[in-house]
Amino acid sequence: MLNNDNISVVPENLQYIGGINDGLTYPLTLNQSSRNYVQGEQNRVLNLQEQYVFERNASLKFRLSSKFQFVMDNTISGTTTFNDFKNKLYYVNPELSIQGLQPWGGFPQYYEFDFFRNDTTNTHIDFKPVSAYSYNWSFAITYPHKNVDAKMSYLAPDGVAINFSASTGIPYIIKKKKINGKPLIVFECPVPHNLTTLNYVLLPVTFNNKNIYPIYSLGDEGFGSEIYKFTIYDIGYGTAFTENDLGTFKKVVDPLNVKETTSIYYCREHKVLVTNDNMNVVKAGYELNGFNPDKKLEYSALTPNNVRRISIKNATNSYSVISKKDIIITGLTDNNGLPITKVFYSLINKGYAGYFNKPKIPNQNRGGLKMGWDFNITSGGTNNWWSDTNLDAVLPLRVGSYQQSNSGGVGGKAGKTGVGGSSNNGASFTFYYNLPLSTDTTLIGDFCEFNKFTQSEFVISENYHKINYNQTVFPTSSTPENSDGYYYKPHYEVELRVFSVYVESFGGASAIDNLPNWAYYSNKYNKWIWRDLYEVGFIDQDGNGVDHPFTNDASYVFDNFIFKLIPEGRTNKGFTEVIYQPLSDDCQ
Amino acid sequence: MTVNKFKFTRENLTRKITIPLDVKFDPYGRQEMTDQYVDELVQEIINPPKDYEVTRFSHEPFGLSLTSTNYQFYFFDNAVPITNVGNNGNYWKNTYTNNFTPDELYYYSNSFKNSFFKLDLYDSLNKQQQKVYITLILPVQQGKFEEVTLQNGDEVQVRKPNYQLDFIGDKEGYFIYWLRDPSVLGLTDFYMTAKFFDGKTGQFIRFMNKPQSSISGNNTNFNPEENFYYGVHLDYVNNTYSLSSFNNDFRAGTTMNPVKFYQYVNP
Repeated sequence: MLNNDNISVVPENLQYIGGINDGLTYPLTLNQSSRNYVQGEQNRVLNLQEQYVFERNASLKFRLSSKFQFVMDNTISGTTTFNDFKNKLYYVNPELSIQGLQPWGGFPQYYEFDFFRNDTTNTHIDFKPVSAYSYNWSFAITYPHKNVDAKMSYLAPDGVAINFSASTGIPYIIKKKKINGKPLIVFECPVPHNLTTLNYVLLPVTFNNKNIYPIYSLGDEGFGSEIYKFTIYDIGYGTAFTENDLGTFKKVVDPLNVKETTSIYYCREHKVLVTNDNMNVVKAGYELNGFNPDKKLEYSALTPNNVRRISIKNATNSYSVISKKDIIITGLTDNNGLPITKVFYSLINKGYAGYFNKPKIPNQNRGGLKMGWDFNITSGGTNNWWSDTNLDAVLPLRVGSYQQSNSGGVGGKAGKTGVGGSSNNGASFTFYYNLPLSTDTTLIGDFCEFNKFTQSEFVISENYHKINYNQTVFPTSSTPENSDGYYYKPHYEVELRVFSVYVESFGGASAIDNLPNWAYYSNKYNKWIWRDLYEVGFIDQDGNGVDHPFTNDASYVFDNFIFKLIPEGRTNKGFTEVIYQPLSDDCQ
Repeated sequence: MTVNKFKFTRENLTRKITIPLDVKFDPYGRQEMTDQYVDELVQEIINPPKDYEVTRFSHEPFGLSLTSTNYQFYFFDNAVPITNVGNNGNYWKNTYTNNFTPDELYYYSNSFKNSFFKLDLYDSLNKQQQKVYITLILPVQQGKFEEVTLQNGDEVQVRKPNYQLDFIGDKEGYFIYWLRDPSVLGLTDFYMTAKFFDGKTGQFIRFMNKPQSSISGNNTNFNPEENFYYGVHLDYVNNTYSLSSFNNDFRAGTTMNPVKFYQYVNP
């Protein structure tokens, strides 16, 4: 408020001769800051049920725990001259080795693969109980934060390979067939194509200035082929499509709106949220599974160091994996700019004992692990994708190393037994291991498709890692540049929230109330398109939705996983986690 | 703003003076305060969410990344009355054989296998005010071994009250599970006492942090705050705990300096 005590207004006629005393006005404005006190606004109806639902849906804090069942099959044997390894093997034909007719060889013990090491008397590594659960594997919690392109290669059944990039779509090989008397061009894909008969495909083949083709049917009459094969009707394309042609296609939903309805293809890139230091991994007490341990007694006379012991080749255990840190997803968006609905447990083989992980990029100390996708795991011989010379398959994670002299090992009785028994005592070996994932690490993930029109992501092919033995320390193969190894799936999805199965839309460019900030605006259709987030606790009729327990202002998310270490020569499809009941059969 | 004078020079133009008067009534802002108060009141009524979740604390590493927690319990051998032990600490032995026969130990008789050590963690040394917040149980099935002779003359290995707990091996009682949000109770320091439930007699035996023989003067009349407790400290940054003397003079629980408890004998 102005201080008006000393204001004096002097009319002009009193100041100047001839001054005119008119035209002076003094408008006063009164600014008032107050509003009525509305009694009704103070009435609140408290409903604990509603309050619970409100708090539960407002909470973006998640506590993750899970059970991992470790399943393995130790099938690749090798030989070694490093005493600490040699004295601990699950021997193959030791009676020949003791006579010097073959080198000491066999399988590493199961604990070289397991999540947990219990060989406390190990002299090869300075065993620390606190690290018992982190010598072999590193856990992390990650989320897909962006899409990246990746070079891939698909080896067709006839031995021809197609090299392509993820962004170019799904690979196929063409077969021309007559099905039910109709000439069809069959596109065989190594991965699920995620098409319906209402879709179109964008092909690298132009016919009459068009490269978008309607799908005629799915599958080629083979059982289950509708997932991997689709056809277009051969209306006389002639040589535009020839038998065994290779290429990649993209899905198109609306041929009149190719720009907005063509799917994009990419690999998810994962960013670390929680590192191994903040994960508790412990054995799940008392749980046994259907796979019995594979053990035998190694007689002292049939060992290189004359020590009798129990050898365990395979064992499958269950583990509880708990995040010590809460997952708070406030402000985080996923690889497609949508709110986070899922995070992943991401594992990498650490292999501190040094059996694996010799770096493929030695000058940078990177690349102990190899990476590929489901379709790169083929039966009947190692796929060339996994060759050391293919740098596209190298996971450029940092590798640590340490050296150890052979003389430091247990036993190693010079000249005692076997070919190569201790002939290189004193020789120095280098052992490699992958450094744990840090928060600045990113990992490539699954090969995916996303369509803006349907606002949905589809996993085309899951990402896999491969570990193979360091052939200098533990030779297993006559082709060391592409030796046999074990595959594992590194990323395990955890659903935090769920998008609706239906797609919402609203016409007009202007925003409406409660329009989610992830809604996509289609210029062509002049409307907003989005999927709702289901309310926590709501499960739709198809079982979509989450109902995580909510307490302590956090949602408690629990999942069960089977971690499979797949030996070379077996495809992932050889395992079935759940035997599904048929929805219908021929008797109906 | 303070204006003493307005002076208008003569001009044939219309002049205006605008004098704003900013008036604030007394109830200004009270509505907002009331709204805020109602929100707070509602939160108070419905019990706002507090994080009562617990997390795991492991022993703070010492030496070269060693993590074991080491406890040793010494039982009084009752060879002489407590009033006659003088300053001779040899009457306390790190063995169960004062309380159980070698056969009971070796064959895990019911009286032995149902016995256990109970470590209570209090918030205060003051017995009139203290509350027990955490209890750790150490079963007799854990621990190191010693050699004894059975009644039939066989020499066998039996457990002794010497614990080396760690991430693997003996680990019951190793981890402390406590609130992950330190602000809920605001407790990060505790005081630990030890008792042994003797399954043979059905009674608890109390332990002290030193043998009574080391107490100068009357060894049955002493300050309990100084003689019954070890300190336990939680580190919320690393999710670890450490053990110390009751007044934090030295670190305890390590392999070099284990937590040692000695049976208290009440005359």
